[in-house]
Amino acid sequence: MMPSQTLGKDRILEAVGLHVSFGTGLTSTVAVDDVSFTIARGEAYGLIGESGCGKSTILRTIAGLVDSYDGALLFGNKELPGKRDKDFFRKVQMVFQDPYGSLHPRKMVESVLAEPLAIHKFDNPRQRIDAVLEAVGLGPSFRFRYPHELSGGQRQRVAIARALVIEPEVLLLDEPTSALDVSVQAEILNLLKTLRRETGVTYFMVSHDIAVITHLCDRIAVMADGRIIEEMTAADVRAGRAREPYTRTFLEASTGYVTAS
Amino acid sequence: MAEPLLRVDDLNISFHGGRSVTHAVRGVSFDIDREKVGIVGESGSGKSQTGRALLRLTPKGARITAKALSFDGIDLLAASEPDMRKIRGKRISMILQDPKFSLNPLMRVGQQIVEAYRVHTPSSKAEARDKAMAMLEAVNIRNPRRVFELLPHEVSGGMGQRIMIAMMLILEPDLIIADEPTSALDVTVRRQVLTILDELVTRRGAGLMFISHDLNMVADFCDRVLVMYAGRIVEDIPARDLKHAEHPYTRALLDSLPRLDRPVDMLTVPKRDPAWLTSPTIRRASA
Repeated sequence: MMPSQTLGKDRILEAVGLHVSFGTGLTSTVAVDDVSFTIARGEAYGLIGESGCGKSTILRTIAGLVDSYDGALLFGNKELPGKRDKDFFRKVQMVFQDPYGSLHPRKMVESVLAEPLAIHKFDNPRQRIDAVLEAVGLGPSFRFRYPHELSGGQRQRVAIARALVIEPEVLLLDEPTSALDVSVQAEILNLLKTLRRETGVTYFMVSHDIAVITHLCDRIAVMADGRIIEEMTAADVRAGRAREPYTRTFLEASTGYVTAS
Repeated sequence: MAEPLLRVDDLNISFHGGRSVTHAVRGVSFDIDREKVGIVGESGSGKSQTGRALLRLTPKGARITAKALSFDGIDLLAASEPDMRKIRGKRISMILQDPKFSLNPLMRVGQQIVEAYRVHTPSSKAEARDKAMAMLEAVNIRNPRRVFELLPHEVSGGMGQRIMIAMMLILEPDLIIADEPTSALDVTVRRQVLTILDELVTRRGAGLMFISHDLNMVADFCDRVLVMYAGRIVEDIPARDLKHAEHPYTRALLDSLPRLDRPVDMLTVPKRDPAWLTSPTIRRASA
């Protein structure tokens, strides 16, 4: 496994004093409050927290799905424009939580995968589609299937293939296994691990499952109420080395029903 | 031996559509007394259908047969629809998987809890309202007064599930069927919810059928675990012995989970054996 490279020069994604709020006046809610982090190229960075803590908002803000925010988001040491350009989406792709909702029900796997290739003007779409289907463990025979002909795990594989087909540098993973069975979760986690090893893609993963995130990520940030409370390495999490009381409570609550030994 | 609270003997559920027949549940037998029984299995293993059959909520077109399906001396298969209505909610209640689809989207959540209460208990509106507030508080909702007036789309998934639980527990039923009640919840909230469930079950001496796919949580929370695979119970084991489970499927499920205390490079993906479809249930009595 790659060591964490917080101080390394090659930062791919960085947030500085990120602040996101929704609504105005009395009904205004602060979702993300002064969040800063740095992700090195090739790293797997995890963000964990309870629902409503702002972790998905951060992911959506990076992806350009949240219009207004304060602070800066840097991609490859350059500040991201308010409206993301095409080049950004060539390099950063997202995999959503629910494979039942994120695939177009009337599009065959082939057209789902062909569209990003056409948008970004890639050559040899056929070969690329076959290769990516092979890479996610489905095989070319899945090209002419509709989403309803696929199981949950297969759908998530297609969603991952759709993100990977244009060879992005960063994959934003929004709880990619929380809608799946444990056996399928194991398959997808193995797949994600293998893909990172083979392609060197950077992962930014959001999850509420500490065991899942620790399995996949090198560094993990714990969030609560819109702030990053603590950043830990996977080894720290496993050893239960938490500085902040909140993190400790969170780890205890997570492991309380996990360790049956 | 006294009759258990719930007795299920050789339950079969099949769906007949056109020329094809799907056997969702195949010859399932178990008892639930005033204890916490976990049912684990993957999607499609028939665990939810088993739960639904107890309340006769199985969709039309399904064929249910059983040698016995009795709750507190009542034959659930033979009970009339009016009788079932008296049982549902009051004696057996069900906490469903997804609050988004189970709550009425046009009704304030507090009102839905009040309604659930007043259907079965003659009480004044004010009394029911107080009870609902207390229940919301019991499921750890910080500001019950505000939440009471919210519509389901205004609450988060976790809060929706707690509202569902409040609604189902307000009548203090004898048997609670909880279908993945905590899978949408955060770990810290999950613990609180489990504590609430635990309290009710223990204090009232109610039975709990806890349907889940989270083996470790079930192992810690329940007294007994039934492992389902392809519509059958493959293993019936006291929860504390789960880590010494014998059935290869149970073992495979346990191994497929990432664990903090045991880092692995690659997780084990269960390999399925056709023999599991016919092999007898491994039953281990509680010591």
